[in-house]
Amino acid sequence: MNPKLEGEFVGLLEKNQNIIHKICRLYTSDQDSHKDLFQEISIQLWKAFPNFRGESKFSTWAYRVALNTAISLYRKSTRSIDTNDIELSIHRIKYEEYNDEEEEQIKLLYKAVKQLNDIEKALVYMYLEDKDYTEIAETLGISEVNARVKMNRIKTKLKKIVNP
Amino acid sequence: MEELDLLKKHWKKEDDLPKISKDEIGVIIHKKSSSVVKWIFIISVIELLLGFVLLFFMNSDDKSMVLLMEKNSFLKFIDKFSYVLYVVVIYFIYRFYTMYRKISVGDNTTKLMENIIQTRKVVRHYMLFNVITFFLMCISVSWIVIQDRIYNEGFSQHHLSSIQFVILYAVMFFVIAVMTVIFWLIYKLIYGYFLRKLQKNYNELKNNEA
Repeated sequence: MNPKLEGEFVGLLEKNQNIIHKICRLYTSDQDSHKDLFQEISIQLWKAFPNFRGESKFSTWAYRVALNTAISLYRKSTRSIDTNDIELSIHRIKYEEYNDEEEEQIKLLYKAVKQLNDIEKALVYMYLEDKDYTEIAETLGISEVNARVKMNRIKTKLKKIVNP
Repeated sequence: MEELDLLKKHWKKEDDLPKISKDEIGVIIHKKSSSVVKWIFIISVIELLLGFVLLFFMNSDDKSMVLLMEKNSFLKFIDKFSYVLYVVVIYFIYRFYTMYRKISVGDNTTKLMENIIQTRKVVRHYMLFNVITFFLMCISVSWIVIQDRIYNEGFSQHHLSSIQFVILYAVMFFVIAVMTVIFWLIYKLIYGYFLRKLQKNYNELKNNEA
């Protein structure tokens, strides 16, 4: 692929990388897996980039591809990760701005969300990103009613985990 | 406050997320993918080639077979039928190629999963077609060959009683059946490894769907 396209893509991905990091944070539980999934998503985005015609915003397209990769295409790789490629300090959550009780709740919530299945995590991601039900349903290819039903179940599930 | 809304408060803060430079991204995107689709593609191509190998074995150039073919019109038919098989194989390859091209990571999740599952289905039907054809060919050709030996060379009178003859068939049938089962198990194992997660997620997604 041509260097101009690659330059454009790298710039867009660098600017929008938080989208992918957030998805990796939901779907993985350690640094190596986070890096591995980030790498797979980046590869998929780059492969699909020539088909991205700018009908939607890059960020919208990127989170959809990222979720699809995490849900359908990703298989934990056995490849060794070259730690020199990406220097990350992940899962380092700053809690200073929260009081003790709230901090505890957030920790518990992150733990609870990790226990959800892949589809539920995708719904949680879109909810946290303030996507409406029309967009959630469209992204997953399900009906809006189904999206709402699933979301309500997730809320009940989380409530049970956090307040047993 | 609802649990998720509390989480949202923290979610919006992005200062604890890692930062990757443009140079690093430039390196990452040229690495090899380990996606399920890539592996399914590789395995499918091997299967398609395997079909060709089976076809090749079905087209025997063995002299005794050629002689036999001249005498037996059914064998002649089987020989001509193998050309039809090539057409079927080419059709399957075409179907596989068009289905594979349809897989787009930019589609909605359901459609992406359905396209992957459909692509697999094409190759599965192809393999099923090959195994059944191979099975039928083996049975019918060996039956004709044995019949020929019996009537032309007095094979059964000298060497085989009718019971032994039945046993011979039973053993042959058993060997082919065992081979098919082993083959099927390996198959299940390979695709279970690659597609279990996808199938589980697909069912979860379609759950409650009217």
